[in-house]
Amino acid sequence: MPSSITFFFHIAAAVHLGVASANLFAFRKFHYLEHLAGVPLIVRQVFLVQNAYLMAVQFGLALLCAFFAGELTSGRPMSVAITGFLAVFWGSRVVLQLGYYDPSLRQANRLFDVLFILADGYLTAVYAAAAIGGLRL
Amino acid sequence: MASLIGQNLPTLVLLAAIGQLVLIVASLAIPRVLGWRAETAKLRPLTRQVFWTYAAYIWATNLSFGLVSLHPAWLLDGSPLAAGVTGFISAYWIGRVGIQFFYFDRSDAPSGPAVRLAEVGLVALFVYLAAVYSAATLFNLGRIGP
Repeated sequence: MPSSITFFFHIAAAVHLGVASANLFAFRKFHYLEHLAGVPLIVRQVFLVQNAYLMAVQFGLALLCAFFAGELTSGRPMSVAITGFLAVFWGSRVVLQLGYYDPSLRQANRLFDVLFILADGYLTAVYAAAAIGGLRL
Repeated sequence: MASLIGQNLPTLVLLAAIGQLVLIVASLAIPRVLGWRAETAKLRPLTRQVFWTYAAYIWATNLSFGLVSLHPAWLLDGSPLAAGVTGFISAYWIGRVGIQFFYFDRSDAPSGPAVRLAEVGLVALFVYLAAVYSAATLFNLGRIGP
């Protein structure tokens, strides 16, 4: 695996942090808390915990990309497994964005929509390249 | 004691893998038990779709932890990556135990012996996972030995 891919992992770390911080912004922009006011407390709490956990996962992945880029591209079985899984993870997020979210909502929030597709697509490409490269080592 | 834990860590991590895989199968029933479909139907479409997307990705994260733990040798090779991954997984489950006890309001959750038993089992699993991955982190950092 060429060492230059390390650079792309550092960009991926920044993308993860960007997506994580976008969640905070989305709370205000889309008024999640107001919309959740009509559901039972436990459902509201589950939503908030899921959001916090996914932000924590994004932060953890940012650390992974920033500090373990060399190991992620080492071709070791765990590295291939992790990057392969993350490629599927983020690839499926692109599919969800395109096929699950309401087209009218996407159109109304086109900037967010495009940014998410680009970010998730970039992460998919980097992790897939690392996994495939690792398999060839 | 630390040495005993270190010697048995591969088995403990494998049991953690099985526990997490059982958890992800069992958690497929949670939306039905807690009536999430009916409750989230009251939400606006975007909030509802975000809710289900979050749920799916938490489920996938738990699945990834279970799958990688099926290979204890990977997670216990003493490398910085192994220490980072086990450290993250331990923080994830320690946080989950804390949320169960200090954040979730269970006053309007379904009651009954079956639900109570399931909750006890769930919390016991979270505590076990937090303990095993914490031990694995210490092992990878060289703080406990085989």
